[in-house]
Amino acid sequence: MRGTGSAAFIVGTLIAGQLVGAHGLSMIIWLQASLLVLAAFAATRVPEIPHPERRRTSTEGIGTLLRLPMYRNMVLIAALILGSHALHDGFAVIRWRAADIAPGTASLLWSEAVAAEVLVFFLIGPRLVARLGPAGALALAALAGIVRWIVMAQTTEVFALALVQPLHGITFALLHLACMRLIARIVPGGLEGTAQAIYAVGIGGASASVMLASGALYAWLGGAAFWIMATLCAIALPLTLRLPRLSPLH
Amino acid sequence: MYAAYGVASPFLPAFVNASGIAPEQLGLVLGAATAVRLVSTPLVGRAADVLQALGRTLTVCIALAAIITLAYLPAQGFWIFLAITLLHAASLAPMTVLADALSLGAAKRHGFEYGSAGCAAPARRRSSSAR
Repeated sequence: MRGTGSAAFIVGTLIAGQLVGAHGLSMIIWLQASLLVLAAFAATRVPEIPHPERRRTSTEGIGTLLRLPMYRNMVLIAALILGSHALHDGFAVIRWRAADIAPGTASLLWSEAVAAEVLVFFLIGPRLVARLGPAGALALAALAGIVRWIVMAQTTEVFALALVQPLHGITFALLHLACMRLIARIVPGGLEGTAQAIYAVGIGGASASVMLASGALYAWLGGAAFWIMATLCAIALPLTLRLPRLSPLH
Repeated sequence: MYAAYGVASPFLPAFVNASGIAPEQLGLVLGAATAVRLVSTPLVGRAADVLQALGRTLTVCIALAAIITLAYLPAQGFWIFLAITLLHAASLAPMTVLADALSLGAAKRHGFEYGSAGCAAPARRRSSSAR
């Protein structure tokens, strides 16, 4: 079901690319509004389900988790690497348009990243995490991020972009899978929900912060701002290498 | 629903930029949107839990999002764009979590494959705009 969602996302992006090319950016507003109206109608047909148990986030749970060196570092690594995506999310298409890349092409590039994400989540990711171990997978994600953002900084050649967009599967999807594996391994019983919540907030906070800065960075540096994103991943890399040596207990 | 994310996610920043918002301001707008998503997702999720109405909350969220999306068309100026983007993000963000919860509930009931390959990560989606 999730796979269908991702497929629909990609189809939406590709259609938007074609329509924007023909009729301009405001097409996305009409497209999104119409699709949402359709979705709203579909949602009215969904049967209510009986309510699942509520998960409470206890504050002592938060303290316990944050005192685990391995957990803390994992959240930091994820924050750095996922935070580094913010410039791409906000400004990649703007940069590509400035380089006269057609909306259709931009939509293909974006879709490559989503397709890679799906591939990694559902097919190769779990095996890769098992083979490399979570720390190894995180190190790979950091490396992939460094490469991806340096290429993004240095070029707008479609060929080069097409080569690095699939790295999204590693920088985003593999990273999430590795963190989920780590959480499963090191989080004490009953705190899984809290662990997920802190993880989400850590990533969200980092993404918001980097996004806030990315406007000014892009205005000041243009594409070279991606070097800063590469640096964030470079900072994460030694943390990932240290991870196996940290005790999971506090 | 996911197609709706797909049509706007990659292009919305470019749309706002092309409507006259400079990159420095755009970073602020998008960053604020990211922050709002962090807050609205658990809040709306909690409200849906308390009201025991996941489906109806989802419907309302989607409908609100549709209306707010249209507000982008006549929008001009930093503050208007900021307001619309915050509302847009706030209404779009809880959609995936609510839909996931409904699907998982239905999957349990009717025994079909949700297809998340054992990855119980609702935190996946997403740090990018409107996804």
